[in-house]
Amino acid sequence: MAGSQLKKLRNRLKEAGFIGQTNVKTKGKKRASALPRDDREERLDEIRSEFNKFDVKKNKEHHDIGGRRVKGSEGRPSERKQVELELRKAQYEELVERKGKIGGIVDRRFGENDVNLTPEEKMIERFAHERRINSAKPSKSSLFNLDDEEEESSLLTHMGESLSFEAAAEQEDDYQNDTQSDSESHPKSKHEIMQEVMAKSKKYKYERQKQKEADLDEIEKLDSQFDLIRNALSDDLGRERKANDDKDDYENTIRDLALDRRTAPTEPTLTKEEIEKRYQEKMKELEAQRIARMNGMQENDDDIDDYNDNPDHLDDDHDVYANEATEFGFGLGDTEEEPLIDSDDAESGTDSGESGSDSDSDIEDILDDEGPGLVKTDMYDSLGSLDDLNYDSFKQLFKKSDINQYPAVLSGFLKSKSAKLRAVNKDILVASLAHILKLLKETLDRDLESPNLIIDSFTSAIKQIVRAYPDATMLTVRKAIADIANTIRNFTTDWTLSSYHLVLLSICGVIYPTSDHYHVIITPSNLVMTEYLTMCPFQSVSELASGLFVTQILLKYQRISKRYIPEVSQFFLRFFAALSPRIISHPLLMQASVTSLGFKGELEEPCILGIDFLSLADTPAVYSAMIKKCSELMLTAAKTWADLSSKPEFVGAWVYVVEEFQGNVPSAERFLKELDSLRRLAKMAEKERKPLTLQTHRAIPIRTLAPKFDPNYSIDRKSKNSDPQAQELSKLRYQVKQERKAALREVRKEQKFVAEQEIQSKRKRDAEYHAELNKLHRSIQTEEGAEKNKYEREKRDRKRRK
Amino acid sequence: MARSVALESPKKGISSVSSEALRLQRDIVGSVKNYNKLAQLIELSRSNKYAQNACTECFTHILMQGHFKPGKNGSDAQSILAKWLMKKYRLFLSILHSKLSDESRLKLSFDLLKLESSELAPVRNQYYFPAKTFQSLVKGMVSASEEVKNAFLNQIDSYDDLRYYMWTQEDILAEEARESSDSGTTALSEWFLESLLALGFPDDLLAAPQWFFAEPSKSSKLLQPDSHRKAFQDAYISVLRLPLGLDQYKAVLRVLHKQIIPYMTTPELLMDFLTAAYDFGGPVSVLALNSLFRLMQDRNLEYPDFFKKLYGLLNEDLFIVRYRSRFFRLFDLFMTSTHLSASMVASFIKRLSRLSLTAPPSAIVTILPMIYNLLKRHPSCMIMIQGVSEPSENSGKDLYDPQEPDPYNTGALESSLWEIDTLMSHYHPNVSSLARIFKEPFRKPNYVLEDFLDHSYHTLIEAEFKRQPRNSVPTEYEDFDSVMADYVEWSV
Repeated sequence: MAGSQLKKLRNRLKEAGFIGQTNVKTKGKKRASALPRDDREERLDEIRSEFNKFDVKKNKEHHDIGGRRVKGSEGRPSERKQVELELRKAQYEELVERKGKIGGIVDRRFGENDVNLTPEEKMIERFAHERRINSAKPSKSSLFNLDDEEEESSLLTHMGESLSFEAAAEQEDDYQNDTQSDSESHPKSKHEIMQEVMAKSKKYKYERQKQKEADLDEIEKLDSQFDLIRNALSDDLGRERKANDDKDDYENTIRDLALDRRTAPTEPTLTKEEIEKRYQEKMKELEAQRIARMNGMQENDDDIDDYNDNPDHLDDDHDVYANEATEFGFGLGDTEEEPLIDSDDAESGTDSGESGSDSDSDIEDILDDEGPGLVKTDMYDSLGSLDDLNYDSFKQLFKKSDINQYPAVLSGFLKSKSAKLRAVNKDILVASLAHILKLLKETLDRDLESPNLIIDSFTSAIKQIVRAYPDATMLTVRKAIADIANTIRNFTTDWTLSSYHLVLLSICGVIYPTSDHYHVIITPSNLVMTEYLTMCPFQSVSELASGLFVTQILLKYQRISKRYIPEVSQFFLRFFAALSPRIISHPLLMQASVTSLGFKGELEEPCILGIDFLSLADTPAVYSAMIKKCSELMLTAAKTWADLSSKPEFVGAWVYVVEEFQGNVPSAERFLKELDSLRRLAKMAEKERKPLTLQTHRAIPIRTLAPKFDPNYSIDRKSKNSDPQAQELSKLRYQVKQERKAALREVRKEQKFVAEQEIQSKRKRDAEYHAELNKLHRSIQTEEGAEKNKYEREKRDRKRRK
Repeated sequence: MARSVALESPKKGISSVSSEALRLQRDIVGSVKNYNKLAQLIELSRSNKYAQNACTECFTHILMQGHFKPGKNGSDAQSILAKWLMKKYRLFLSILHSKLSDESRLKLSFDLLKLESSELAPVRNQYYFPAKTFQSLVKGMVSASEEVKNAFLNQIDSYDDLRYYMWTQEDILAEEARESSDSGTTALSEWFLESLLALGFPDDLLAAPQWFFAEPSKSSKLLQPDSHRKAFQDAYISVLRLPLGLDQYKAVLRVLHKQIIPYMTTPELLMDFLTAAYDFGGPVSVLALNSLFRLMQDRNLEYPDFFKKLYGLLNEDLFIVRYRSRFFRLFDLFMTSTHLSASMVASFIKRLSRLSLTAPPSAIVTILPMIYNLLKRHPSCMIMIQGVSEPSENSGKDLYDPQEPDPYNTGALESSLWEIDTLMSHYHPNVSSLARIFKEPFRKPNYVLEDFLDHSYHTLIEAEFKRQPRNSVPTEYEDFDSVMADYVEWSV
């Protein structure tokens, strides 16, 4: 409707017939003004309220988008309130009127009001309901009833007697026990049954009490004998205890005993086969652990994948990784972090735990090893504590004995310092490792008749200590390796390694698992040796011999894990280049660091080299021995690295250099028997290998970022959930919540209204009461006044009469 | 008489010789007539310090007197005296300069130099540089001790005119030495190069000029920076033409691109030198690369077969030279372009990976990220790690020809990087995990090479020793009969 407020009002009034032409007559139709007069006022009120803008409340829309239908954007709250109130009032009045007047029967029959059930279904349901109630009843009642153990009510009876066979048998017993009652042979009344049951239960109770008393007596008796046992136990434990009956002491003792270690069951005596089997199992387990450590990287592959799969990684700025090399463990300055392989590896964690426990249990076995019992044990008593132990005092042990007796003295020392004997022995053993190494060094510096025996005995001693306490001894061994690294770094003219260094490196290869992907001792040892191979100028026979020995140690380290060592490859090339009278060149050879030894090509039958290279002379026999050894090592290396894909290249390079050398020194041919095998290996490997396919990865779909089109989009739809079921559910949940709130609100309003009404009615009643009372007062006063007047009049009259 | 004194002086003792010198000095200073005794004094000064001092005093006196100046016409007595005196003076200077045993002698030389400049100037109070005396001094420094040399260079470096003349005179002397080419040249050229390198070109040239001699006139060359540059350049060019030792070449090349080329007016003149150095091979080539690249970049120098030479430089020896990281920094720069031909890049990749087969871990650590970056930049080379053709009978054969010098014809693209596959089982855990990046998807845009350059055995070992084991140290469970069992041939 267009127009201003005033126009609207005028139109409305005209419509209602209040203004405008009043004398228009239409046939057969009464005019509005012809209505009764009093109605006129009402209709005017209506129009007034219609135009009263104060009664209308509008919800302001901030953003009216796309013609949304918004419910309740306009309303007349006061009007609504009024309607509500009236409704409530009507209800309330009805309630008040009906109060105390209407009674009735509540129909609680099942399904009576359910229209969906047929009469038959109703019957069935009712029957089932009845049964349920009946069956539930006895269990409820018998919750605390001791006597109701046998359920009588559920049993079928005939003429008050049980129909089951057991019940019949029981009755038979009853018959025999008290014939009197049975002779009467009348069905027992409920009272009688109850009496019987009560008597029975009392009897049982009495019996239980008796049994308990007897038990207590027995315990008392045992307690009185406890001191005897206790003394026996304490004797056994090597403690002295006086018998004391004091209660506190007793409790203390009990506590002590509870805390005492329980005796482990003794091991059953095992047969030989069983021992063998156990040993095999243990070996298998250890081997599995070793392989797990060797493949440390494979387990960690997942971590790398995770890292690379993470798309955030691509967005990372370089700043996030201050030094990319550290990702691979190449720290230059701070190297707090573990190498990549050991990171959070659950597998290795359990490994170490197990190996730890293994070592614990092994300590005794290891240190129990029988050594030749030549030496008296009392000589070791001088090294009773950690303070007594220094190199001088340690060496004192060996002073009197000949070098050949060193093994015996060593094993005697280890035996006397077994950790089983005294706790402090552990520290003594750990500390003595450094001294043993020093002694080994000094021993090797001397001329030895049978160095192998001495070395082996030292090795077994070192091994025993290291195996027993791998963590405590780690630093000592590491320091020994660091010493070698320093020695190599400080070499200037003669780069020959001493026999002690070579032997120590070999020993490390025996006592530590060299196949580990990362090992705290072996990894640096490897680096130290390869540094030697790279940095050593190989200017003399003794240096070359050292290099050969180091190569052999390196190859032995890799006997299981078969990892490639480029420096060894380089060494083979340099070895022959240095020996060759004429210059040999190869792209892979470090030409600049090759110094010719001035070998003229004279060869003899090979001699034995020994391990003391410092005094090695350059005789033809030595040359031929070294050439032979190198050739053997090449074959070993080629076999070790048989599975590597670039084998044709490096073995090819060796073969090339050896062939050149052989061309220069024809007489060397008889010491280079392995050449043919090398050639064959290289050729075979070339046939076997295939071009690399390193980048065969699972295809990763590109993430689509196009928005999904929703054909049923609505701005009014709150839920983002597309699943209709879930949508329905959330809608219902919302509705329930709203309903609940509305109901609560309704209840509150109701109560408030009722309270108001009650107050009102009370006031009303009070007012009525007061009015009545006043009325009475007034009437009394009127009556009294009349009487008084009457009395006054009478009095006056009498006076007057007098 | 004089001869006998000179011969007997060592026996007579120093005191008598010095008293004799003192007496002679007194005589000479006393009267012009005694100038003849100069010859005697000079003979004495050959072996005696005091005689040298006395002689210096005498010549100072004579210079002050102005007796060196020839007369009006060239034949009078004055001119004859001046000529004779000059001859004696030169003789004395050659003695003095050949015996610069300590800094006091050096001071005497500089004093004389200064006096000569002020007294012998053709026009009074005009700037004059006594070139001959200076040349003789510079030549004399060859045999001087290290201490004196340092003092000399300090003195030179603190005066702008001395520095300038040092360069010009060295240029002249070097030219002379080259032409004469006698046996003493090497010591001379070494000293020249040493002095040049020690002097260097000052950044704040002529900001606050210091003059050893008199203040130069306004039109003097000494006040023009360009003439300094020219002198600096000429000195270097001439000295570098002299035969030098390998160490000298290395020393020059090490600083050439940073401290020398920027101050030259026409650095193109170094081109021949650099080309020769680059062709030389070994570490010299590696060092020449930097300057050569600078010339190519700044001066549009054309160098044919640059990459071929670069390819030739890649060999095993590269990994142990001290300039390894310097080379690889440059190498990375050269290979930055994505417009290089794939076959050439493949050759470089293949060569690097082939070299890694016998390289120390520090080198492998540099090579692997480098190869990664190259593969990332040149995806057509990816077939080297991801073969596309069906494996056949001959596919195991490496078609790469390592002997081929031309990187365009090595056939590297038909080859596979088996070497990298081998390095995945390198003995050092970190290296092997680095090699495994080639197995992973190539998601990283590139590796920052700088982080991988400066590793060595030393850093790797030290890193190992600092590491604290988190888990228990595992030990070998197997028992061996004998440690040395496998080393049978070694033991007795």
